[in-house]
Amino acid sequence: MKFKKLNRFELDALKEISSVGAGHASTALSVMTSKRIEVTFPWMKVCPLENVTSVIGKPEREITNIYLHIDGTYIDKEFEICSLILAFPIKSAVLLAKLLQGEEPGAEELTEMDRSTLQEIGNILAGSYLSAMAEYLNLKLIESVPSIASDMLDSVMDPILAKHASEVEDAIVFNTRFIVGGQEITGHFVVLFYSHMRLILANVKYLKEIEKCLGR
Amino acid sequence: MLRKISIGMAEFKVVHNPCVLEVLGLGSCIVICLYNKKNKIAATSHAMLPDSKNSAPGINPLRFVDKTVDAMVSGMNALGCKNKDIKAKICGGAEIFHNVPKISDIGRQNIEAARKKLGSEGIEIVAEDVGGNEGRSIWFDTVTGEVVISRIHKPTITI
Repeated sequence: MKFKKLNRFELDALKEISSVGAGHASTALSVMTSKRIEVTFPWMKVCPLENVTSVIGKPEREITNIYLHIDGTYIDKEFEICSLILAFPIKSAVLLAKLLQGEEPGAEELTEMDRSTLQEIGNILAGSYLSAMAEYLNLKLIESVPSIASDMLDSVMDPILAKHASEVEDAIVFNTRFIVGGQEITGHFVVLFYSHMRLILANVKYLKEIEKCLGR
Repeated sequence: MLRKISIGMAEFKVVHNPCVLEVLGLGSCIVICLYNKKNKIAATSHAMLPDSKNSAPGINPLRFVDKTVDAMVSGMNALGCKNKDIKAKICGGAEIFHNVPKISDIGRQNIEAARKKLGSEGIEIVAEDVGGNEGRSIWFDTVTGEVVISRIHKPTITI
């Protein structure tokens, strides 16, 4: 799958999915914490798998990574659809976890409670992104339990990138901003699609064109 | 102070002049350092997966252990090194995520692939720092053949 050659339709589809997903995530997180929380994706970048980490930051920066794997059913067949990664510098991860728990930030390390809060954020963000994707593509999607790890940026990214390295050329990186009670926390959301996804998108495009011809 | 050259994912370098080959933030990937003291030629690669056999068309072959070793060895051979005079040190192959299907095992597979491939090329592995569950950064001194390894919140070691 050469994402460099993404056509306009595919790019628009991915952008629409992400902006709808960010909206869903803001609502879900606000309801869960009864605080006003806003999630936005200020920019998106398509780059080769090998360059994902350099788009995010310095290789040795300490990062907390939340990872989910997504399977889907399309026309009664099961496919591996994508991997989702949510990455925060460790200080931002601690701050976000504390803000959502309504505690005072200050600590430098993640507690067990922080880790499960972050896994839940991963769940909600991924779930929101996925429901937007499922709607758009008319797919049934199933997400895995989120896994979490903290280490150097490149070290926590490379197992996930490696998993996709034999079939995916490019990845999509979204700059992700959480605004909680006036405080801004920035991280990155990485989407790694399997090649099936491209075919499903092509299918959707045809369906939409047929609908247009039929005047619906 | 020797010149430093960084090796990113799916890259390799063969060098003749003295320098330090550096890999920052190594996880399940594997770094293979090769050197020949007599000819002062060294090489380092940073591979992501063990085997190029099942890769889709158009995928960068340097993501795979087998192809990076081929590339380094032919580069060193071209500069006049014989395989029997080349020594190897390998690092990496950590298990960063636990119990995650198709991810946790990649490190171990990379370690095995590196040992097997170097064995079949007749290159002796003289030192290893592999496995575990932490990321590493490594600095390979091509003059002495020493590899310095650091981990977050831990003292550095040399192999």
